[in-house]
This record gives sequence, C-alpha cells and structure tokens, in this order.
Amino acid sequence: MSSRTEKDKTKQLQDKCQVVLTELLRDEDNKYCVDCDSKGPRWASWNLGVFLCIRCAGIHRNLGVHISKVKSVNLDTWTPEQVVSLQQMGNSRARAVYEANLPDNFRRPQNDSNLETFIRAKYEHKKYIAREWVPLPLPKVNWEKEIEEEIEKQKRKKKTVMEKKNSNIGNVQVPQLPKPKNPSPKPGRASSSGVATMTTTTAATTNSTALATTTSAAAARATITDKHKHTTDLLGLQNGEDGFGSFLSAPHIVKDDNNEDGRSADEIGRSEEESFFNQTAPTEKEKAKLTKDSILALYGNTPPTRTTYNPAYPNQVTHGPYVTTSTGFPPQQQNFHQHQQQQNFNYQMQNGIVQQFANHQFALQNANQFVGGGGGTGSTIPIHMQPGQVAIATPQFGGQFGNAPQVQFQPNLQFQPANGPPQQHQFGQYQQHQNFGGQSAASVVPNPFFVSQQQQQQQSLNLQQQFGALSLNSQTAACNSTPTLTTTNIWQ
Amino acid sequence: MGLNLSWLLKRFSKKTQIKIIMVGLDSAGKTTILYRLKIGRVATTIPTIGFNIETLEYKNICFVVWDVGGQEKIRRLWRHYFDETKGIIFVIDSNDRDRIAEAERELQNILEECQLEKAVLLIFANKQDLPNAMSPADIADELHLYRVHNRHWHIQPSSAIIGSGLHDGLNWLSKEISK
Repeated sequence: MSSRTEKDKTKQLQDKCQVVLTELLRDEDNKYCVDCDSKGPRWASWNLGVFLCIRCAGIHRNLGVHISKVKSVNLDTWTPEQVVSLQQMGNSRARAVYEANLPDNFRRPQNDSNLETFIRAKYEHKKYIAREWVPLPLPKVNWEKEIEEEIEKQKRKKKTVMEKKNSNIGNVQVPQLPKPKNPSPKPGRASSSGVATMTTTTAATTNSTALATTTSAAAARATITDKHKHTTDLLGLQNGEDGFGSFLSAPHIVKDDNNEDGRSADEIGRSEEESFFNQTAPTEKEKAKLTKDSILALYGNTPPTRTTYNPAYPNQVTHGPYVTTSTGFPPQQQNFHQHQQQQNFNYQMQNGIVQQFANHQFALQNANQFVGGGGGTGSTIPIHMQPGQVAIATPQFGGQFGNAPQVQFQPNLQFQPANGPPQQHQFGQYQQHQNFGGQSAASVVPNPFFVSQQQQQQQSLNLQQQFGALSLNSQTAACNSTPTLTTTNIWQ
Repeated sequence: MGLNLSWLLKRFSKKTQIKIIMVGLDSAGKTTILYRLKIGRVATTIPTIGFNIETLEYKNICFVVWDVGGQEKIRRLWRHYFDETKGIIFVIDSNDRDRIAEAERELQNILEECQLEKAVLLIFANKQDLPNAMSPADIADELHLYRVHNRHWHIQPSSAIIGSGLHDGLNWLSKEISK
C-alpha cells in the first residue's frame, strides 16, 4: 500500500517536472539553443539553467560535471530542484549573464571545434560573463509535500475553502530574475523577446502558467483561466466597466491587519463569512499551519462565483510586478527574493541547509575520508580481483574533496527577512501610500481608475515614482497605460 | 589429438569475435572511449540515443563493442543487448561524485541479469584527468565491488581524452576472455 502511494507520488512528481519543462520549452526564450542558436533544443544543462541542442549538449558534457550538468528533457528523469533551476534562469537570462561582454559583431561559430572553443570560453573561462553576476544558490523546493497534499485531497474530495488555501500555500514560488529585454544578438528575435507593456501581460500569463503547473493539472487549468480573467479584468477596469470588483478588492489590502483578528469586515461578502465559519475544524497538523498568512489567505479567498481579480491574493499581488522586465537587475532580484520566497522562507531557514547537506552526503562523507592533497591520475592504481580472493580494502585515497558546486555555503544575502515584516504588510504599506488624499488606512481606498484623466496621470506619476524607488516597476504602470517614467535597464 | 590441433589452429589463425557491451551512466565517456580506441583520437561526440557499434582488434582478439546510450529512460533497453555478451565494460565518470550512487545501482542491476552471469567485468574509472576525480579505490568502495565474488572484475583508471588506461583495460579483458 505504502509502496504504491510512494510510486504514485514519484510518478506525479515526474509528470509535474515534465509538464513544467515542456512549458519552459514553449517559452519564446527557450526555443533556440543558447549557444549555437539552432532551433528546438531538447537538452538542458540544469546547473547553468540553459536549454541546448544535442550537439552543444555533447560539448557541454566535455566540460565536466563541475561546470555543466547535462540532461535530456525527455530521456532523463528530473528532480524539482533541477527544473526550478531552469525556471530561474532560462536562455535569455543566461545569455544576459554569460554573454554580457560578448563583442557586438560576434558571430556564433557553427563548426564543431570553434563551437567548443566558444562554449569553453563562455562557461569554463567565463570570458564574457557579467562581472556583477552572483550565482544563485540552488533553489529549495518541496513538491513532494504538495503532491502528498494533492493525493490526500483526491482521496477526500473535499471542496472546502480550506482546500483552496492549501493549494495556494502549496504553490511553488519560483524566484525569477528579470528577463533582459533583448539578450539575443540575433536581430530576428528581438521582437519576440518582448518590450514594454505588451509583454507585461504575456509575461504575466507565462509566469502564471509556469506557476500553475506546479499544482495538479486540474488546479493548474483553474489558475490559468483565473489569470486570464485577471488580465481581461484589468483591461475592463481600465474602462471603468467593472469598478465594483476593484472597489471590493482594494480595501482588503489595507485592512489586512484588521481582518486578522477574526472579525469580518463589512466589505467582505456574506458568503465569504459563511464559508469561513462553516469550515471543518482544523486538525492538529493543520492548526500548526494556520499562520498569519494562511488566515489572511482565507479572508482573501473569493467565493467561487466571483470572478473579479482580487488583489488581496498575496500570490497574485506579488506576482504581477516582478515579471515585468525593465528595472535594474540586482535591486529587483533582491526584492523578488523577499517577496516570492517569503512564504517558503521559514522552511528554508530550518531545513534548507540541512537538506543540502543531506543531498551531498556522499561528498561530505568523502571529505571525511580523504587524506586530501594528492590525487589526480598519478596516485591512481588499478585494482583487480579474482573470485575467491579475500577482499581487503586498502584505502589509498588520493584526490581532493570535490567541492560539488551545489554545496554552496555562501550566505544568501538577498534574504534579509528573519525579522522582516510579513509580505502582506509590506505591500499593504505600499498601498497605503497610494492614499494621497490623506484618508485613513482603514477607510475605503478610492479606486485609482475612477479619478479623472488628469488626476490619473498625476497619480500614476506619483505611483511610478514611489514604485520606481522601490524598484517595483509594475502593474500600476501597465494598468494606467500612461507610463511616464522609464527606468533604466542595465542590460540594454 | 586431431581435435586439439584443429582447436589450436582455430585459436591462433582466425580471430575470434568477442561481444563486449559498454554501459554506464550518461556522459560517463563511453562513446569517447570507443572512438578513442577505434580511431586513436578524441572525436566530438553527441549524447548517444541508441547505440554505437565498432570492432576493435586487440592482440588477435576481435572485440565487437556495443556502446549503448546511458540516459535514464533508455537504460532499460540495455538488457536487450546482453545476449551472448562475454564482457561488460562499465564506465564511470570519476568526477561525478553526486551520481556515483546511481551508478552503483545500475551496476548492481546489470550484474543480476542472468544473461551476463558469465561475463567478466571491466570498470573504467574514466575522466581521471579532471581535478576532482575520485580514485579507483574510492570508486571500488562506492560501487561495493569488494562484495562481488562470483565474477572476475577489474577497475581501471582511465582518461579517454588523454588516452591513458584504455589499452591496459583491454589488455586485462583479452587475458580474461582468452583464459
């Protein structure tokens, strides 16, 4: 029984990995080999986070696993960490990083030996790398837990609000670096890499799909449609067609603190109240999980009939701004980590390092055994044995402790959070800044879309300035469709 | 007497063909080893989907070496190549410490195959040219080779890029097989 569920779990995990990978390959960024530009890569170097054609995969394998770990998208099995590593990087970002100092008139070599020279220069000698680039630590993801939850859910077939909450929490937050506008030297692809507002929606959709695939297939579909609605709603809002939705949704953010104490706010629909109070009592385990975030998520949940976009969803709110691309690289990265990984943060702090050690147990064991120093070809001796001989292991350990590249002890400075304020609060504060009219935070926030054109422009300028300072180049800009400030992109 | 004579003649005049199968995890260097032995230089390879087959003549023995792709999902095809195999060459990427356990599992799997019951086992601890390569002793330990008592085995450090160790391995193989 247990082995069967175990099998199911592994299979689901595999399926999920494949789905995400397929999704990634459909992304415009990854449709061409990162090194030679040939179409339709089916191989990937998961530690570098790039997709490759089979020829470049062959060359990458020559570099050794300490530089590039090559896998086939279809012929190998993947772990969530590897997939997320690819999600984090992708070909465009990888080009921005590893080809930052590529000469303008550089032509990608097409014959084997020149291609190998180029690839070695690029990844082994890091000849063209962006100097400010700091490699990200290997992401920690726990899809297993999520899948367990999925299986549990399928068993119970419970369709309560609690379930929704779980799937929200279960969503894997993938920290993504900002995509460079046009990292490809190939002019034909400049447009596809995307610029400005048009991409904002596409990027949001793509990202949401990637995110959505991390839940079950059904849930994924739901999320996608949800997001599509969200984009159309935004457009609708702009025309003032659906004012009520935003009217409803705006105060949620402001009233986060008030909602927390369990008293329902006026703005929240009666159905929401009911669904909240009719919940089944949480089990011990679930109680433990009822963090502030999850309670807030409960309040943020809309009844299934309501289709308007509700910014009170922490996921959605944090989501939007970060997929737009025109801010500077490092600050946004920092912000991104704060926001996106907030939810997983506790887990990471507690388990992250330990897990890394566990993953590399082998390497560490060796570290204990190795005498160190020596090694290499010189100290190696062939050993052979005939049947019946007594095996005497004579450890003549040469070699050095291999510092497997994943075992990174560098502290992740992008996380500052230990006592940082929770996500919603931060955002809530930003939102409060929007109340230029001096209204109290608890009162209803005026819908920015209801103001006159002039005011709107004024506001959008202010918003832009504020958000610009926060390096959140954002949804607001896209919504108001009057982008008055442009932030500089260091990748251009 | 006559029988013995003809056996001797056969043995020394005509090269016997010996089927060898070369397996191992993906990117261990199987194809590079094969072509290093065949053409004497490092060929540019791509990941093997399917197999490569070459005949190598070494000391009057004609090895027919099957080099089978090592990607995870095509490893289950290995056993379809095992028929009539006299020797197994199992190639290890000595630099890949993270996957040595995986290599061990695969090795145990093929050693359990009854078709390979009588096959001798040569292990190439390949990529010894890389700085963090594990020593053969270490690899033997990780692969639990000391527990293998029912067949002849030999672990040979090698570097297909440099070309070291490959002929030593074949030497052992030819000696074992012609016994």
